[in-house]
Amino acid sequence: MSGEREDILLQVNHVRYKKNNGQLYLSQSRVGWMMDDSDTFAVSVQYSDIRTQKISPEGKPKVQLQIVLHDMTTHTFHFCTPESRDKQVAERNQTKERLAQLMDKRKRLPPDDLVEKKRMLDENEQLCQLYRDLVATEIISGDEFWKEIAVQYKNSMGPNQEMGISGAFLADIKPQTDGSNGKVQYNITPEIMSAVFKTYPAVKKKHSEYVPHRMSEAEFWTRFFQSHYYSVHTNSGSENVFSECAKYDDKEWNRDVLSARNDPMCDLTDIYEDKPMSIENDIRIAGAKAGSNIMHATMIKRFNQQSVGILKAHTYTEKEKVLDELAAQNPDSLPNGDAEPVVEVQKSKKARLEEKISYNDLEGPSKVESASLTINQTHRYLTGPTEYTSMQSLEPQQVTLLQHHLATEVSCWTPNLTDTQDPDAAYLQLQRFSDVCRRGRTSAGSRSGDELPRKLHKELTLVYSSAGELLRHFWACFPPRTPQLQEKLHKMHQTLGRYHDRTIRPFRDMAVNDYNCNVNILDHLLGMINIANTKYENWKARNCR
Amino acid sequence: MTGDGSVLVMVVDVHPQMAEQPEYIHSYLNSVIAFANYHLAFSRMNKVALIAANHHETRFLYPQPTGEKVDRQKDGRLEYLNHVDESIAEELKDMMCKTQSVKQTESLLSGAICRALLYTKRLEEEETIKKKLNSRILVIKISTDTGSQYLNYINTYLSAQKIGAAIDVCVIGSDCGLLQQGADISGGYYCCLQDVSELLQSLVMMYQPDIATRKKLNAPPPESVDYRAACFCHHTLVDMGNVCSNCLSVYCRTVPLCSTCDVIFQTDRPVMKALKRKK
Repeated sequence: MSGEREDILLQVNHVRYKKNNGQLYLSQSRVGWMMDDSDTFAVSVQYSDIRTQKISPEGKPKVQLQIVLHDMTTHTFHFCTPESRDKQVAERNQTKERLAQLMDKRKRLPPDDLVEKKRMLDENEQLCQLYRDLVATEIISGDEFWKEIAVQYKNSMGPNQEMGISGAFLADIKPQTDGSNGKVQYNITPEIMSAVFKTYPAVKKKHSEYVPHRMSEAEFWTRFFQSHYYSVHTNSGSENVFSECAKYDDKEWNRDVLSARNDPMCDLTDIYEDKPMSIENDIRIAGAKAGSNIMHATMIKRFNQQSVGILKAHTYTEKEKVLDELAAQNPDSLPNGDAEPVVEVQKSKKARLEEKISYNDLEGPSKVESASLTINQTHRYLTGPTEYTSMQSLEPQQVTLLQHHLATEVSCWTPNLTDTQDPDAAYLQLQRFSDVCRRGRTSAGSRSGDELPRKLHKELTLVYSSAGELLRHFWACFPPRTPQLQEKLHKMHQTLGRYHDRTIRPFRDMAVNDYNCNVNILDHLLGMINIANTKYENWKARNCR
Repeated sequence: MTGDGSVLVMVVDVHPQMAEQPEYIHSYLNSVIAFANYHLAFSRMNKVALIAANHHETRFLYPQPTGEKVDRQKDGRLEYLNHVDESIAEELKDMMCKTQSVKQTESLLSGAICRALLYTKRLEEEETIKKKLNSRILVIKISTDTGSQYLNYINTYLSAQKIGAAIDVCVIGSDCGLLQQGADISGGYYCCLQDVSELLQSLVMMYQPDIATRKKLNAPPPESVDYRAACFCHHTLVDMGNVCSNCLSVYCRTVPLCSTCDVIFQTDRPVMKALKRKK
């Protein structure tokens, strides 16, 4: 903050930080604190670094505000205006409000697609390199890069996995009590909303029905939290909005229980006293056995319902979503659809077990159907071909004869190590050996000239990879039948030319001057570009006529 | 030359062809034994094994399957070295005495190398603390052959490469491309000598240091190895050939069907004709 000018949006005097008096400032991008009699900021935190802010409880003697950063460090500010305690609280609340607004603004500043792009570049090293080579050097514009090149990478990366819903998301919505007058405040984020919608499709339907024609967003959520649906223990008049949801959920629950009963993997028969099918929408389904207290049974049922909802939300496919929406619109028609899953579930227990214990990705590579090899000339195949040599192999009789010679020679042989090596022969061999070694050393030196220094090699790889990418796009334009393709072709041709001027030529100069390389080091690459250019010129000449 | 010592398995060719130059027989055998002694004397931890191969059989000359026996000292030599010498001589004489009808004339070196690989593998297994043994195989070859065991050799080399055992090759007389390939594949040295008189000197210079030590020494540069395969049809070496996609037989020219596995190749000729017609 020091150094650059920023407008101060809010200044609060008499704020203590680590037992020092000072002022708290909020600017467009950060929060800062400056000690009295000082002109530098002792604390300066970007809003984007702040995870959350906390305030001291109502009853505490000190009026404090704490900001928690992403790395879990905290800064605590103590508001201590000498005027009055109310003033302290007011100042604190003002700061808090403002800070919340600013943080909100900051959070939305990097648009989603920018974050997405950054993530793509981070995840994909090659793409990042291409980006640096092509966009940073202004060979092609950023937009084009994302439109033309990155899309292919994106496609090759496979579908993104959707984030699941935390099992405790409802419990995580922590209401804040006002303390004095029993007011309860819920803070709802878009994440929570989508989680609720995903888990309770009925609520989503209600939401689309009621908001904003019949009530405001805030009112809807207030009613939701007040309703019996959300909290069993509250009674209020707004029941009518969500009572249908409960009915729908019960229907859904019946269906799930039914399918679960047919599942040999989970033995639930014990917890049902009555056949669940016979009862319409009753608590008995959850099981009177589960607890003698009907309240407990209800709670357990609700818990189970929620868990099922969360599990389902995770495995929703598009098709199911559509089906569920249809179902939610017309909850009474559901039983008609019941017959189907029952038939489907009638799999044998063995098949189900098989299904459960086998994992695709743990199994070995699928058996490849191997064609049998019929060998016509087995001997030839097994021994393999050998070169006919001019050397005559020995005749068997000859071998027998030599064997006799050898046997007699060996039989009169006793190991005598003192007289094994003739000194003259050894000296000659040593000379020859040294000669060969010396020759080897000199020739090895000249041979290493073929190899590039590691750094240059790496750079060459990069140049090749980028140029290859461009060339691929160039050739992808052929045949240029549509105007878009023609336009792209023109553009790619220009791009190639620019790449040649800005990257390849300097690289070659560098290789030749700094590394003393052969001039033809890039001949192959230049050849490829020339072919592309010729093709382009030919096409242009033909088309202009 | 590490402190752990190394295992040297020598595969020695004792083909009857040795007797073509009778004056060198003793020198050859003495050199082999001298090098075994040299290796053993170099470090207390070193071990040696010797496998002989001729056209008829392969046999462990040392260690003997009957087990070790302790001799009394003779001529002030180390008992151990003396015992090695004697058991080698004894087994070799026994091996030479056996005369059978000659079915094939080539030295069974590939089998002997296989046994050497198995032996080092077994030693490794027998170690109480399992670790990679510092072992290598040295093949000394004196006979000439036509390489009818081509595939056996190649399979052996590939196994050696897989288990990381280096095969050194020392050939006396004419060059042997097949063994040279083996040394190259498994990471050993190959050397071809003119005659037996310089054998021991060469062995000591080229093959005494173990694999790790060699990197620090200046060895003669390896010659380029000829890996060309011979074709199945004319048995000539081909620079560029055609390979059957079904059974991998090599042919020196385009053939319409593979004579090894009777597969008929689909040629692209009809397609080309159709294209021409279109134009």
